Amino acid sequence: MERRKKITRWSLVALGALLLLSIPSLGEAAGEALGPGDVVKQFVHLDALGAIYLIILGFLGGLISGFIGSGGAFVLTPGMMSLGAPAAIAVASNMCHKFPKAMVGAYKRYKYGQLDLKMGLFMAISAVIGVQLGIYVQKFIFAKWGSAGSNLYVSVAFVLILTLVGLYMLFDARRAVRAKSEDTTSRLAERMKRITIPPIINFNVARTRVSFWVIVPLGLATGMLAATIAVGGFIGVPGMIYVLGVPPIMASATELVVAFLMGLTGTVTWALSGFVDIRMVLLLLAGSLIGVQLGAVGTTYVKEYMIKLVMATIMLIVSVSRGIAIPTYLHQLGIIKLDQSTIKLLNNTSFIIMCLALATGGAIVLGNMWKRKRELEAKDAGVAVTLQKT
Amino acid sequence: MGNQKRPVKQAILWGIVSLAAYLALFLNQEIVTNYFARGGAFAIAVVLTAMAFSFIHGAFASYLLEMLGIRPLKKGVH
Repeated sequence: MERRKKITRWSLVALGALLLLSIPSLGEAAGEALGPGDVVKQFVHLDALGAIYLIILGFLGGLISGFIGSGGAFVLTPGMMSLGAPAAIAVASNMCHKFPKAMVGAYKRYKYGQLDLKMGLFMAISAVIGVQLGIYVQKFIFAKWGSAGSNLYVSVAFVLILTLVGLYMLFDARRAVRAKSEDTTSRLAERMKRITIPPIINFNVARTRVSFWVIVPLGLATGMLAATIAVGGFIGVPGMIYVLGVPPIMASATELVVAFLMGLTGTVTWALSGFVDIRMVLLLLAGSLIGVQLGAVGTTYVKEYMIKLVMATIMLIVSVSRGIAIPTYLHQLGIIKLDQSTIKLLNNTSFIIMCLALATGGAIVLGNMWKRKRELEAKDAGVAVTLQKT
Repeated sequence: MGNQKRPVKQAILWGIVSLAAYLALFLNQEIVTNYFARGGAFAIAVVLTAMAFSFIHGAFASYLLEMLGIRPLKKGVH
């Protein structure tokens, strides 16, 4: 027992040391490569309509985050940019909004007994290091093909990964629905458990034990993708479910720890250069702190597979949205020719579809909560009538 | 579910505190934004502000949901 604790402690210390080395350029984990022209420090004028828009966007992003552990960033950054905020300000403000939201969400879900803090720390620290690797890849592509080439690479990676993982999760959720069970089991996770290369880490809350050499690469991949496609959670959560064999409710809760640490380290980096627009951050938080707690409560109302269903739905809609943006980058690279009105139309359609993804996810969560509440009320009423009769 | 006491007073109290904090910041938005844009040591102020609002507004949001009868159904994973 004492030896196990020692192994865990030293594994975390080693990861922590690597984390410290990763921090300096963590703020670059923008998801979209920022060219020198994008790094503009200019704060937008916010009117009442803009404020309400940010609160609503924050609420929906928070609701999804509280429920599936991630999401929101893909629409919040472009959402702020649509108000006129430069890309660097939008990315920095999104980072700064992410960590308090994730902290509140993680706390709530910890209280519901859904969060494995130890697993969260292993995933989070290795993800922060993974971000660093992702940035190297990004920088290489940026240097070779410029901003448009980099954005094209990001979009293609985004569409491919999200479509494949999203479709798999959707079919998997359907399997659980058909079998009328709470959830399915992962064969890959069973195989992974057979990997016994020391050190083996015990996760008491998730009731599993995994080799350090399985969980750390998974965290690294999550971080790398967070740096590339800005939605690391869309890999982190399925990874924990299918590779580590963690139940979806616990995986989505644990992902909030990853979001917290990545958001915090990213915020510090951006804030050191003064890029955070605290007004936009607080307006987003006004909505998201309600949304994230509502989403967290929502997880206690639904069956396990609903997390997969909501996540898959959002991933697939968002990948369509990102796919629509690809012709614009091909145009910028001179591969195809488009006129300005078409580019504007494609960009607007892409953003509207992203908002639709968030709204659809929100509607599924709230709809299912409402349905379950009605069922329980009807059941309570039935019991009361029976008691009265007897 | 419905028999539990609803924290109306706490929700109102934290609502007022949260509103006051938002008003204080937005009435002085130019000063705050100018200072925070300087970066450096002000990064600590950015993090602390975000933390403070998450505590104040987070507490309000929690009581608000409870007041509306939105509570978790069960503890732990199914």
